[in-house]
Amino acid sequence: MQGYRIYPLGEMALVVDFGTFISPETNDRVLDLHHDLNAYPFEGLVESVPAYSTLTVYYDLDALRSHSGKRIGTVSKWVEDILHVRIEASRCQTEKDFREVSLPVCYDLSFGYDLPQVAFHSRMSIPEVIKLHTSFKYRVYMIGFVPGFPYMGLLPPELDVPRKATPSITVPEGSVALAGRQTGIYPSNIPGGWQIIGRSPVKFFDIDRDPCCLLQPGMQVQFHEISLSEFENLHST
Amino acid sequence: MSLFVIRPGFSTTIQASARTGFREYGVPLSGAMDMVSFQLANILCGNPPTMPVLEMTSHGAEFLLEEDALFACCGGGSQPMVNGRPVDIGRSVWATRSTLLSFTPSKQGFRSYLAVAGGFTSRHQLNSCSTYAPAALGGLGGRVLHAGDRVSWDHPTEFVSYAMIKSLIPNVLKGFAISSWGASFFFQSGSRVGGIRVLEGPEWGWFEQNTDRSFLSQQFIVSERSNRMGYRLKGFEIESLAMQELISSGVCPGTIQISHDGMPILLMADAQTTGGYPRIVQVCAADLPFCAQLRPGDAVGFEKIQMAEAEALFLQQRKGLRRLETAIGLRFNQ
Repeated sequence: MQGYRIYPLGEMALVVDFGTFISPETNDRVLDLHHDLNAYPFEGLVESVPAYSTLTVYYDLDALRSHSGKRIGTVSKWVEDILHVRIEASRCQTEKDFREVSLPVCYDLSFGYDLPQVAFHSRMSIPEVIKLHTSFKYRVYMIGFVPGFPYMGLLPPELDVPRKATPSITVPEGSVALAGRQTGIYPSNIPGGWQIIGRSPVKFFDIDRDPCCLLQPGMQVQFHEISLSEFENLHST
Repeated sequence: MSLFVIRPGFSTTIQASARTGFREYGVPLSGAMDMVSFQLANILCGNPPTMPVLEMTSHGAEFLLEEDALFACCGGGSQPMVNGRPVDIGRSVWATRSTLLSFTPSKQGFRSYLAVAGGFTSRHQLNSCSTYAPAALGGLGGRVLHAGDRVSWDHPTEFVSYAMIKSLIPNVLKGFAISSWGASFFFQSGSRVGGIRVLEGPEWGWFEQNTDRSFLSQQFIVSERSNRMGYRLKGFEIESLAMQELISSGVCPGTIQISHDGMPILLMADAQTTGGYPRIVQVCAADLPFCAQLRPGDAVGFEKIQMAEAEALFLQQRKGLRRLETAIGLRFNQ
């Protein structure tokens, strides 16, 4: 079994760390374990949270209190042992969500107000930036930062742009953004430091929908360009 | 049955237990910051310990009861006044309709919890009633209380609540009666002597340890830039041993990150679910309620302990709450 480490994040969580790389293979290992725990939860599991290369496993310390004591050891160790077994068994190769999604994005300058900056930084024209952004399928690696914010990548190296030195006070909902070799989408009006290149009319986080989050880790996303009037139509429905 | 919000205070939201099950979608835990005072207030109303309560940050709230109510206030964030008279926190109080509740300044802590027998009515969304304002979840419209709001509750369902009320009614004087029983010494809010206890964080080894500016050697000041998402702590810059970037990974309430400027950020209930700053320590769960009572300007230091002790402290705290609940139940049972 390839390398991994498990270490505590306090008394109620363990982090399973598959390495310091952002790669589809490493993320696959994270999602395998995540789905395995979802499908076959152990006693006391609360939830697991996938990130690029780590899975944080939260458990109910009080519910597991009988697994601690002077002779027995800590609950933390008891849960860690369970996780080792699960990883070695490596049951869940299926069930992962590899659905492909095509997301409409309007790159009009009124929405993608950082496009000129990104084009300048990448030494390309704005249409070239848009073409690059829409040419590839990106993996959703994780959801974090705010409810529904997807971290997707990796973008071609030409689109490796820095975060803004001064974050915007409010980034409009649906804004499609770039930072490092990642692309993300702001699911609500919030402050943000990524470079804004367009806007999508789709609702990414909706508490009345199940699941509430449109994008799931493991999904493959491709963007396609739409016009301002198409955006207006889609946005009102 | 309801109360009318005359003044909402500095920041008041309906909180209950944490919102678990959605962290993989970036939805934070939220919930009461001081889990002990929150449960205590419920127990003192005869409620199950995790019914929705009002979490008041600092002071200034003023409510008018529009119906008779059994309530309790815990946590050191303010001094409760009932019809202008100070009332100890940690007591059960029976008050008649038109009673005025106000919450004046107190230096004992920073957050107070008001529970009512029956529990406040709250919007249940994504597995919890707790308010998470940035996504407008839970609570009363997913936001802080405003002047003019009405917060309602249903008739209590627990026998203990009715037994408490029955026991208090004969003692009503000037509109209210205070219980002889209480939990005022169960939990001491305010700064902990000897430092907040922490466990090593995943990136503990990234930082200098044995200098007089190392994390454990310092007394930090809680900055004004602190809220339910997290507290910024001011002190000497914490030096890292090497320039390393952390790929975004899980964080939770109690995680202390060291930001680019070398300053600690203590994440609290509404903290985001993942972060890219190194995690130097994790505050022990048993000491998170103390952290919830820290006031801007307070000095705070930290003490590192091991996992076995941390688990034992938390389990002991939980056991204590269960014992109190049992004791109150026995006292009021036939």
